[in-house]
Amino acid sequence: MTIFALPCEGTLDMARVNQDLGRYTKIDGVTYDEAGVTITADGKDHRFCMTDYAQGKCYGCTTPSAVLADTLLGQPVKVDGAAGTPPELALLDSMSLDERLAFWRGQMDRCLRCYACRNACPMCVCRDYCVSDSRDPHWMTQEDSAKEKLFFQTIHAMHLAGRCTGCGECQRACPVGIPIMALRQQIARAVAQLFDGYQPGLNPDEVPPLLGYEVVEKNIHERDWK
Amino acid sequence: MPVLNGKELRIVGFLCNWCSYGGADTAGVARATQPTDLRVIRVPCSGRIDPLFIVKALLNGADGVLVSGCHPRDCHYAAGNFYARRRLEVLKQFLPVLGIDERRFEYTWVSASEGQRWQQVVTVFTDRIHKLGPAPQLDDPEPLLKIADMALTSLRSLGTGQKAALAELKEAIKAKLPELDCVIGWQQGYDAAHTVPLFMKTPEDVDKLVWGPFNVNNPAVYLPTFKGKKVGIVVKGCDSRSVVELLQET
Repeated sequence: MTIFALPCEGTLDMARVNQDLGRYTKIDGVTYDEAGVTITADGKDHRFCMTDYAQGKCYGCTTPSAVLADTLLGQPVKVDGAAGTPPELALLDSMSLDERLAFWRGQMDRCLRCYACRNACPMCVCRDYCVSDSRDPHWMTQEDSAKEKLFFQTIHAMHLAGRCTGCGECQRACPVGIPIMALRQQIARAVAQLFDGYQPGLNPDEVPPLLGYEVVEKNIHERDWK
Repeated sequence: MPVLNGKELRIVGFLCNWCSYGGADTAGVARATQPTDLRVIRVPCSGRIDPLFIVKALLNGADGVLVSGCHPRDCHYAAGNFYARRRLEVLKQFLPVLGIDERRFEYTWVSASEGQRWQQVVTVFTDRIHKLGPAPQLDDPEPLLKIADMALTSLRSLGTGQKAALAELKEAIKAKLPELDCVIGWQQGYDAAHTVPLFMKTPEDVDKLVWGPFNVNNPAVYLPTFKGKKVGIVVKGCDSRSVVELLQET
């Protein structure tokens, strides 16, 4: 495999862009400047500044240049500081347990069960053999309930534990805009905390933490039962 | 078994065949008094327990889930409980984001001779679940719709990337193309504000390559379909991490 790369300066959150564009029949053209783009739709200009309309993941991105590449052109981009809590997870963090349950209830009611999140995910390598489609074991029914849909999200999130690089494709592909990244981000945070700041997708020689073990775990302490 | 209304709660226990199930048996043979809320499921090893078993139980009405296996270094299959420990600890930290109290799930180690310890574990855990009460169900609450605040400051300067060395990159791809079956990238979609994936096989295809803030797709998603072939890929920083992760697993 050969990897070609250019330093990335951020990508647009098309969901928010489309929301501001409103209804249109035709995009006539796009002009670029240093800091943003101007989209001409039905003869009307709409300007989108990158600092306001980038995808959530781009703000906390620490790897704008490829971590591994055969051909890497251009100057490396300077990154200041470490990534904080991503916006989707910050939203969940600000809620109580009951609110979170009510939040997922509301969000999962909107889910269409189209599985775009799974199909867009680069780490979902099972493809036609996904356990959510399996009849034996019958993990999921065809029922259209919030419970089933949330369980599917849990399957996706758990199967990505220690593997998800936070590329955000699941959330971007979601046609109804559910912040499903929050589930993956919570696991990523747990994995980083348990396994000495491990971040997936930085070193091809590393073993993902859930594929290995230590006889004495440094950061896992079994609870006592007194 | 039906639940004794008001007196009992539904607690599911996953016990490993070799230690904890034996431990529970020892407690039974010794006639140790135990709460009766626990429904035991015997599994070959704690390593057999998929964290999804636990989530499925909790989403479908269990008020608590207890997992118990052999003590570390005592696993009948040498390492099953070591893997289980990592998985279950990650699960324990994951549950709160779903809105499930993480105290409703616990894992521990009980050996076949530890009848008394088993009695203590069941008593303490059942007590804890009774204090928490019946678990709130996903279908109960009124839906709450909130939107994440995206007003953020970036760790680096964001831009449109129109000064990137796209022409040089195209030359580099053209130079490599004869050795490769295909190079994956982006091309303009149905209008100037959308891109779609581009699979470059000829130099003419390479000229269609675009670079900019509309390149939202992650081309790494197509890599598994090119397994065994010589493939090139154009990546952004985040996509390269997916590629690295896929390389780790092959």
